[in-house]
Amino acid sequence: MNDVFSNTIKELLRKPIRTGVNVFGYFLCCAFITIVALFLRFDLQAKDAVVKYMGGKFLIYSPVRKDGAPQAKTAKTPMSEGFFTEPMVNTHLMPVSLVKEIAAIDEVKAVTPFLLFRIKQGQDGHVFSLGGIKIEDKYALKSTMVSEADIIKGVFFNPNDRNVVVIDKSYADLWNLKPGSVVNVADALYPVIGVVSSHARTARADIYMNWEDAKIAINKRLTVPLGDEANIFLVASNGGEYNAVAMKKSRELLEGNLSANAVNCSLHIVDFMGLSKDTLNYVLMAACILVFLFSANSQWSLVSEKRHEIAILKAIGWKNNVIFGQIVLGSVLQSALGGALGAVVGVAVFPFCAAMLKIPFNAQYEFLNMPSLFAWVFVGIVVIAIVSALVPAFKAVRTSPADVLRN
Amino acid sequence: MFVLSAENLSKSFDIRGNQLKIFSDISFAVKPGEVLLISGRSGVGKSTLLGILSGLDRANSGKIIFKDKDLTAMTLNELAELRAMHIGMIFQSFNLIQTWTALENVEAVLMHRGINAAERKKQAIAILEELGLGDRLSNLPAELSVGQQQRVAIARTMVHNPSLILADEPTGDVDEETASEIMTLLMERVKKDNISMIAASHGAFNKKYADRELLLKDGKIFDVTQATI
Repeated sequence: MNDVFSNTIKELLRKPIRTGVNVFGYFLCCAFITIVALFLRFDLQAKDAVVKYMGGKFLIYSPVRKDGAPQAKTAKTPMSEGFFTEPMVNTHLMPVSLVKEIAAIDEVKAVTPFLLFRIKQGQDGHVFSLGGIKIEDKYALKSTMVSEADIIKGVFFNPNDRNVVVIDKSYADLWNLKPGSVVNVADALYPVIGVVSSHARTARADIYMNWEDAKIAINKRLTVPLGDEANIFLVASNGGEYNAVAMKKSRELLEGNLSANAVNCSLHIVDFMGLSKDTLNYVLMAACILVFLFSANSQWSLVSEKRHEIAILKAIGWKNNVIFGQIVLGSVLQSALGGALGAVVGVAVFPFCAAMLKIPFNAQYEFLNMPSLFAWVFVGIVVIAIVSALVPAFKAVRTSPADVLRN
Repeated sequence: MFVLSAENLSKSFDIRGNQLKIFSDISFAVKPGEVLLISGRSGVGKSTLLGILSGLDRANSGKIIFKDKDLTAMTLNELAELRAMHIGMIFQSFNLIQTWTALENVEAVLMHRGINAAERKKQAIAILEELGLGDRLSNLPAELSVGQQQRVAIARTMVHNPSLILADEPTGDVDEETASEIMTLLMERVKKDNISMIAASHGAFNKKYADRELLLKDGKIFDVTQATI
């Protein structure tokens, strides 16, 4: 084994330029992979921070299934109107009294009912969504549906505001509306007091109204008027870690009478944020394939170039396992050196790359203290180098010295 | 008692579906210390025969017994070990590794055999000095004359004290004077250590060094000792 090791080192030093180029190749690949891995880590940490900041929020509703009971209260024009949630799922109505039962769940901090109704505008026939909110339930509304924090123009509702609306930015842009404009909802005119930007939300409405105003407007479009009912509950749990349990218990509570779906708002929102985990994984995978190809090509060329030399060594009595070991070890040593340097340099230059891409680099993220990441990248490169050297090494083993020397 | 005996060896190559017969059913044996010359025209299969005798190539049929062991039944690793321990090979074109120094080329034979580096080096230097290359240890083959290169090749062949040397046109690429010088050096060692040698040559090898001559012709082998030596 000592002979294999010392001879491999000797061979690598015999061709310093070739060895240098190989090590540099591994270095570049490893530095690149380290930087991409750090971006991925940054992305995950940033998303974690967002989830923690937002706390655990989810919404719960009962979808109308094809083979289940139809909606109990239908719209006068059911083809274009009705209770629904995103993405265009028709929903049943649920008694608002369930709010108290959901609120009694240990893991739940706050809950509010919500009305979301698709409505057809009387004048030009366009369809928009109307949301009815209990303005006083600020905590449950924030980051699930709409809150004062989302205002970009004008003002948000005061608890006692009646007969006014707040509209979503996309709807405002579509119809050129602004605070002071007037909108027609179920044949009644409402002044716009504010415009909100909902960003990425699990559910959103084009027009928001006070709960009571919304009920009045919706009732005009129904065959049977609403009782004390809602089609969505917006729920805030005690934190991200309690979300799953709170969602499960809430669903169980409803499932006595209705099937229920629960959708995690935080996860939905973070999917829209920062870099996509899948994208980065694909980039990492592509980088690993490139390392593999680079390494395999390099070892293949080496073995082809040394075919005659390998034949001589076999002729003088070198065993196949020695030749095989020397080729694989050569690949391992080069990749280990290049990989270690690449990982260190990758970590060192990451803050500059982040600055160049205008990604906020924050000291609270422990980028530089990640021995496990460093170890994974390093081990990964070495493993790729070993695997990629196997085929060339087998080629060397299969070299027939008689054929080579005869020619 | 023979060092090596070949029994009914046959060899043919498959060339694009056509069988090219090289030789068939040839048998011979080599005694300890005997120098056997296999002669014949270029292309008759002398190098192929030596390749088979060394275990670098396989015969299609037949048996090779070397020191009571059947080479044809050995694995590639066992054959490699056999070459490393007992067989020395000399090639017409020397087959030195061009990026290795003279010393490293000779030392290579002793590697991976559990001999420590210092001992390896000592043995390699000793034989190179004996062959007059003491001042050329760190030269690459390209920095040596043709004669010196062949001497390095001989040193590589002899350094592990083989009991059989297989020489393929050992003086084929050198002038007559150098050939004579090389053969004198080689034969001195062969005789001193009672080494058996099978040399293949189409004529350049001086027959005076051989104890016996076998002619390979038309796929058969003939003992022509009485007629030629």
